[in-house]
Amino acid sequence: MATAAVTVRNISKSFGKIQAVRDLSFSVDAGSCYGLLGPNGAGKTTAMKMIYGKCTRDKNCEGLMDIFGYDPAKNELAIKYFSGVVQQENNLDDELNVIQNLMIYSRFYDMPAKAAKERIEYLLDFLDAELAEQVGDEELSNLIRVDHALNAVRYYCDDMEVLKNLAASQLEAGNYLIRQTNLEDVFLRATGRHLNDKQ
Amino acid sequence: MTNSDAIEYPPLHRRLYSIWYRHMRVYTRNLLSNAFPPFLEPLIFLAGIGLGLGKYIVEPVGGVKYIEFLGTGLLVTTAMFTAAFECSFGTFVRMEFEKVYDGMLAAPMTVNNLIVGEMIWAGSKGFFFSFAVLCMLSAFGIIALPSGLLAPFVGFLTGVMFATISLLVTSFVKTINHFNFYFTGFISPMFFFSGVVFPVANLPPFLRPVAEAVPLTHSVRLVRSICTNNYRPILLFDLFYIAVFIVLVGFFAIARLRKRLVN
Repeated sequence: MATAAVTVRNISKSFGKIQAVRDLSFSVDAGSCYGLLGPNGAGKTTAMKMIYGKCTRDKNCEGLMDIFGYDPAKNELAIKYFSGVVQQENNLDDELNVIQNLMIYSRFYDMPAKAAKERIEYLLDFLDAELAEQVGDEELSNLIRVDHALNAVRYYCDDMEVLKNLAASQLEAGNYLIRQTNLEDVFLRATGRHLNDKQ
Repeated sequence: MTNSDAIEYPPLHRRLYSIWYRHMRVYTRNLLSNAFPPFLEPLIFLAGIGLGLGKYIVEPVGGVKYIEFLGTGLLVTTAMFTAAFECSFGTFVRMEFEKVYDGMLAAPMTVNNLIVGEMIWAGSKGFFFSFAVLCMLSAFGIIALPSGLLAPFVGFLTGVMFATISLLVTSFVKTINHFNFYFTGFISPMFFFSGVVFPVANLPPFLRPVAEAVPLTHSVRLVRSICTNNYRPILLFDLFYIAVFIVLVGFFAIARLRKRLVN
């Protein structure tokens, strides 16, 4: 299965006079994990934001973006609906507990309440049960990754026949992140390097 | 691979509902501290006016007893205050400090959906706050009930109206302290000079057009006429004003906030 899931060709993005992304091209095969690496300010986040429509690419460039057949400039909603985004900062509600937060996000994706509850329960099996009951805990920021996994599972269940391989790899990645909530540890295991090493 | 023909995502009303649901869940998380004050405030007002000031105002004001005049006005000022706070300080905190919108905008909704959702939520709060005042005032016989039941709907419109203007202000604000200008310079004067505490007709002639130009005046006239069963053709103009205000100011608020939320 070597169809391209994401194709980005000759994309640029400027903020005023500063060009954050210049002539970016890459493609991601379906069913694969892809890492975008680069030093601070390289435009990694901007590139990601352009994929799900939080940033708009420069209009004058003749580039192309194809995310599973959708263009973010035209079908932002469709792309957002089938993707899961783990933000750099925690942006869940600290006042709500994990289950309540996930219920809110399941509504954004228009999941029926009953199905959402079942999947949240299933996902929280990966976590310490006490954490789920705590409200406004500091560790909540780590649990934002549950949202990603929720998405992955939703995807897995809805589109099993079409995108089984991709979903399975996503699910695996999701589980792994949940089990290893310490991102630095994940990075170390994956690359053999510490996050702070600039090499 | 082109899927463009079969676009699949939640329909508009489900997206707006999910945004409303988010605000409702966060609001009702602290139900007691959030939902109790709206009921308490009119009681404090009743005590203050009824026991104190009311004694000195024996003549009817605007054709009704003063406590009825002021009470009907409070039905919409409470909606104004809650919507103004929700869509100024509340929106700014969600946008700049909590970064809640960044997470929400990664879910299937557009910036337009998000902002319209805010407006509908502010309207719902306006409805609820008007309803709370209505409960208290009707319990003390200040507002006659069957006619007063329409008041929360005016509260809803007032809430949406002040959501649009507050969101527009928020789109300009760089630091949260700037909201002080909005509240001291716009919201507070409106409370005093829009026919809530005394009739607009008592204003100096050169100030009356100003009072007619600001949004609260129209809400007040509408709700007071409804509560006192005093229907007049000018109420159609008030409704028209409210509708145009919401569409026009709402449009600019969305356009400006969109620039701020999508780079």
